Amino acid sequence: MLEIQGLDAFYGASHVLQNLSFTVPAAGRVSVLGRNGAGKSTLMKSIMNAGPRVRGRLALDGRDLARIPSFRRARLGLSLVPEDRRIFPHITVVDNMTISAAAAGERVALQPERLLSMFPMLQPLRARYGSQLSGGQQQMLAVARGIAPNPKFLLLDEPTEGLAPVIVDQLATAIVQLCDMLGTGLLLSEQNIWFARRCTSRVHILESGRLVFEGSWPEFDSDPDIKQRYLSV
Amino acid sequence: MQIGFAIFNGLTVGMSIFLVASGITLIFGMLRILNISHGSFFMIGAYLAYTIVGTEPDSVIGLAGGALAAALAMAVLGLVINVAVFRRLRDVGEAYSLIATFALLMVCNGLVKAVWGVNYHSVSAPEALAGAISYGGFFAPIYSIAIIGLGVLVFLVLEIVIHRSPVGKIVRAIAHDPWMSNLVGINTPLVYALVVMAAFFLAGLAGGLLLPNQSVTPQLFESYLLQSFMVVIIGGLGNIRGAFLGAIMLGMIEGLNFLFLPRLPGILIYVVLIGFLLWRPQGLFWQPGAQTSDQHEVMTGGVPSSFPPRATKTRIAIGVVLAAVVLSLPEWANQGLLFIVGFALAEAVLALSWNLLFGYAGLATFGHAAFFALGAYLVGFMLRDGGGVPFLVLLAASALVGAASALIVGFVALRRTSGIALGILTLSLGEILRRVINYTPELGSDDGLSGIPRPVVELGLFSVDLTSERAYFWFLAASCGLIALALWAYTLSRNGRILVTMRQDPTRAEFLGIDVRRHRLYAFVLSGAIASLTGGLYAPWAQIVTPDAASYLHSTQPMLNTLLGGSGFFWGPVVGSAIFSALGYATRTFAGLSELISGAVLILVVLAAPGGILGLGAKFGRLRRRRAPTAPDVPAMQRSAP
Repeated sequence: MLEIQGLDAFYGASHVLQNLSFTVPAAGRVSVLGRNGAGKSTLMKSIMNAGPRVRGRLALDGRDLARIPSFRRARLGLSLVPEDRRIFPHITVVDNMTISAAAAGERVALQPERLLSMFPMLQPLRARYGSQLSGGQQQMLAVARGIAPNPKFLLLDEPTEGLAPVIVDQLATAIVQLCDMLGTGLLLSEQNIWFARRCTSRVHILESGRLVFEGSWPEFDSDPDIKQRYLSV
Repeated sequence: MQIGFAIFNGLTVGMSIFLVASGITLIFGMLRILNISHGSFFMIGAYLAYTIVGTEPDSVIGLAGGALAAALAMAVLGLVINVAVFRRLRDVGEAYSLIATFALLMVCNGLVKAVWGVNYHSVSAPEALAGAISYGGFFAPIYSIAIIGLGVLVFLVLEIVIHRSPVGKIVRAIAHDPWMSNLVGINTPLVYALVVMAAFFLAGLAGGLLLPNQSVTPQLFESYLLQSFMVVIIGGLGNIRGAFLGAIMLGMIEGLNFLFLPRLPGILIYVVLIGFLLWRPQGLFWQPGAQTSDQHEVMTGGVPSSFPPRATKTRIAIGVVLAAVVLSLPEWANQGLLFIVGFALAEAVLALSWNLLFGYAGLATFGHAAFFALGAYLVGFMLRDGGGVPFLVLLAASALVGAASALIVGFVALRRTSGIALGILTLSLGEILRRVINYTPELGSDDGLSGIPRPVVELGLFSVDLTSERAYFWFLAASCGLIALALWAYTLSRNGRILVTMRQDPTRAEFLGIDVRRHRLYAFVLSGAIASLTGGLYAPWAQIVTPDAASYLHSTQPMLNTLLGGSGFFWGPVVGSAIFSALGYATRTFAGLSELISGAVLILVVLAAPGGILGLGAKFGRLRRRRAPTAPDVPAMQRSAP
C-alpha cells in the first residue's frame, strides 16, 4: 500500500503540490489526470524523492519513507518510468533491462528473456544500443526496465506522450498483462483518458497542484462536468 | 641516440603524469568536478611515503610498501574529502566548484608546510632500481622502465574495469545520467565515494613510487598539477583512454622540447596545448556531459544576478568614509600595514577587471595575471633602465599594451573556445609569458626586476614628487579609486547592461540583435587594459617585479577575491581583496598558516554562501526587511527536472 498524506512539494520558491492525500492499495491501479503543469510529474518525482523538495508523509506498506534516498526507494519496490524515458545510450537493450536489477532488493528480478516476450517489439533489437532506438522503442524499453526489478508499485509518467496510436495500444496491452501477472500496483500519470481507462480502475484529477476529484471510472463518467472543467483544453 | 633517449625520458615523464591525471579524469568523469587540488594530494602522498621510507629505502619492497601505505592513507583521506567537500559541491555552479578545489589546494599546501616544513628532501632509488640497461648503445635506467610499466599497468586496469566489465556499465551509466541511475536502484553516493577513493589511492601510490624521481618540497604539487591538467584537457575531460594518449603526447612533446629548445624548458607543451584547444576544444575524445564549450550558463550558473548599484546617500557616505580612512593611512599606520594596503588596492582593481569578464560578460579566464605582469614589467623596466620617459606616458603605454594584447588574444580565443577550454587557454598563455620572462636575462630572469625607482611626475608648470612612500601611496590610492569608479560607471552604461544580458542568456541576447562576440571582445580588451595599467601602477609601489606576477597562482588571486566578496556585486571583489589581505596580514609570520586559513575560509564561503560575503549580507538584509523566510533552496537533482 502506498500512502500519501498532506504532501507538499516545492520547486525553488514555487509551491507545486498542495496538501495532497490519497492511497493506492496493494496491486491497485490508479490514474492521475490533469492538464500540463497540474503537478503530475512533480507528484511522481516527489514519491521517489528525485527532485522537488517535499513535506508531508509518504509510506510504503506502512513504512515511512521520510528522507530515504531515491535508490533505496527503488530497492524497496517503487519504480519510476520518467516521462523523458532516460534510456542509457551506451549499453544495449538487454543491458538496459538488467541494469535495474540493482533495484530488485529482496525480490526476484525479471529475466530479460521474459521481458522480451512481453514486449515483442524489442525482441529483434536486443543487441542495439540505447542511442539507436526510436521514441516508441525507447518508451517500451523504459517500461520494461521499470518493471524488471519486479516492483510493488510502478509509477508511469505520461508514457503515451508522442507515441503513435498503434504503439499506445501495444503498450496498454503489455502494461495490463504485466500488472495482472506480477500483481504490481500502478500509479499512472496521463493526459490520454482512453489509455488511462484501459490500464487503471480509479481516477484522480490534479488541478494546479490540488486533488479535485477521486473516484472510479463510472463515477468519473457520471459527471461530464468534471471532464469539461479540469481536463478539456 | 639522443633522440632515443629523449623519447624514453618523455615516456617516463608522461607515465608519471598519467598516474596523477588518471585520478583527475576519474573524478571529473563521475562527479563533474575538476579537482585542481589533485596535485597537492599527490604531494601529501609523497610526503607520507617519505616519512615512512626515509631518504634511502633499502629495497624495492620497502619503497613499494611505503607507497602502498601512503596510497591507503590517501584513499581514507579521499573518503573524508568526498563527504566533507565534494558531495556538497554538486549543488553549486562549476566556477564555484573550481574555486573550492583550489581552496583545497591551498589548505593542503599550507598543511604540508606546517607539518613537514619548507626544506628540500631527496630520496634515492633502492639499489635494485638504481642501475640501467644498455642495449646496443641505447641506455635506459631500470627505474624509468618500472615507472613506464606501472603507468601502462594502471591504464590497463582502469580500461578493463571501465570499458569491459559489468562494474564499468554501472559506472558509465552514472556518468551519463546520475538521476536515472539512482532511480534504477544504483547506490550512486557509494559509487562516487569509491571513485574518489580510487583516484586518491592512485595519487598516493604515484606520490610514493615517484619519490626517487624528484625532490620532496612544498612546490611538488605544481609540476604535476599543470601537466596533469593538460593531459586531461588534451584527452577529453573524463576519458581515461584520452588521458593515456594525452600523457604519451605530453611526454613526446617534452622530449622534443629538450632536443630543440633546451634553453626554454617546458614551453613547447603550452604552445601545443593552445593550438590544440583552438583546433579541438573538446579534446581528443568527446565525453558525454563534459562539453567544454557553450558552458557559460553552467560556469556562471551560481552567480546571483545583480541589479546595478545606485548611488544612494548611504552608499556615498560609506564610500567617502572608506576613502578618508585609506587616504589618512600614511599619517597613522605603520610601514608594514601601509604596504599591505597598497598591495590590496592593486589586487582589488585587478579583481574588479577580472570580474568584468566573469560576473558581467560570463567568461572565466585563468590567466589574468599575465596582463598585470605585462604592465608591471613594462613600467618597471622603463623606470629603471628606460631613461627618462615620463611616468604618465608609461602608464598610458601599459594600458595600451594590455588592450592590444587582449585584443589579439580575445580575437582568436573567443572565436574558438569558451567554458573550461577558454580557462585553460588563458592559463597557458600566462604560463608562457612567465616562462619567457623567467628565461630572459634582460628582465632579471628568476630574480625579477629589483630596485625599481619611484618617479617624479613632470606636469609642465610644476612637478609632483612621488619618490617618498607616502606620496606614492596617495597617488596609488587615488589612481585605483579613479579606475574603480570609471569601471563602475561603465557597468552602469548601456554597454554594461548589454554585458549582463549576455551573461544571463547569450542566445537570447543574440536574438535581440546584440553582437555577442563583439561585446565580449570589448569587455576582454577593457579588462586587459585595466589589469595591465594596474600592474604599471603596482611596479613602483613594490619596487620589485618577479615572474611570479604572471604565474597562474597570481591569476587565481582575483578569482578568489571576487568569489569571496561576491561576484554578483560590482564592489564584491574589493571586499574580497580586503578580507584576503587582512587574513594574510594576520597570519604572515607562520609558514603555511596563511594558506591554510585562507583556503579554509574560501571553502566555507563556497559551501555556505555561494553569493560571497556581500551575497550573505544581501540575504540577511532581505530577511530583516521582509521578516519572512527566503525562498527555499533548490536541491541538486533539480537541474534535471521538471
